Amino acid sequence: MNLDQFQAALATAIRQTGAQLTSQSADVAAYARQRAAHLATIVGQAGFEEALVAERDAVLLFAGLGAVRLGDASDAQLLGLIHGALLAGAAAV
Amino acid sequence: MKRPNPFALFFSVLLLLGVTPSALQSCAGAAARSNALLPAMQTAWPAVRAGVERELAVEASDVAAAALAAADEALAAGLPLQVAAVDWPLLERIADQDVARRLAAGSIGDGVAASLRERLARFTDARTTFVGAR
Repeated sequence: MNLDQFQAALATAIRQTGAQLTSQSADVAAYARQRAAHLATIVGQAGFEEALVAERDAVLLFAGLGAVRLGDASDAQLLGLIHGALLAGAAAV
Repeated sequence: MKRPNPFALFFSVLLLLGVTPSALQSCAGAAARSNALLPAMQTAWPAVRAGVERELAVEASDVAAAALAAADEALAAGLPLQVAAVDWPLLERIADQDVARRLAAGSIGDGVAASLRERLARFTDARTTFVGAR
């Protein structure tokens, strides 16, 4: 399996899970490339098909983790903004 | 008593009015946990579970069987508190034992075992992140 095939399988898996995931972000794409490179070295090993599914799952999980990191960072930014507004309010009264 | 500066007060109220609706709509981290991470965990779980089941067929354990059932329910429900209550370290240890046993038996190659362990490691990251432990 080459990288294109792995990424196509990944895109299909993402569609099937219905998860709000993307394989397009740079870190997810880099991780997918790294895992596809590993797969390329183990073609023909006993249980290769299982490895294929495992690597697809690993990339999905990695993408999910990335989404949470981004979400948490966005929340922290917003909380900072609210904190600032409250401090400004407190200073005004 | 000191009277509040009307301009500063106006500015603060304006700022809060602008920020509050977006704060209410937000919680992007929680949304990402439910809409991105949980489906990924639910996708990966059957294969991880199969490894645990294989190992339990070799060496039965009531405690592990109960943890497996609790994990099924928790992932289906998708509630962080319920997911946090599962004995994941036990299940992950058993899943890893399955990988080791099959590798030793020659039914999977070492590169395949590395892939199975990679998924297991990402799953551990995912479930700890899902419950907010990271």
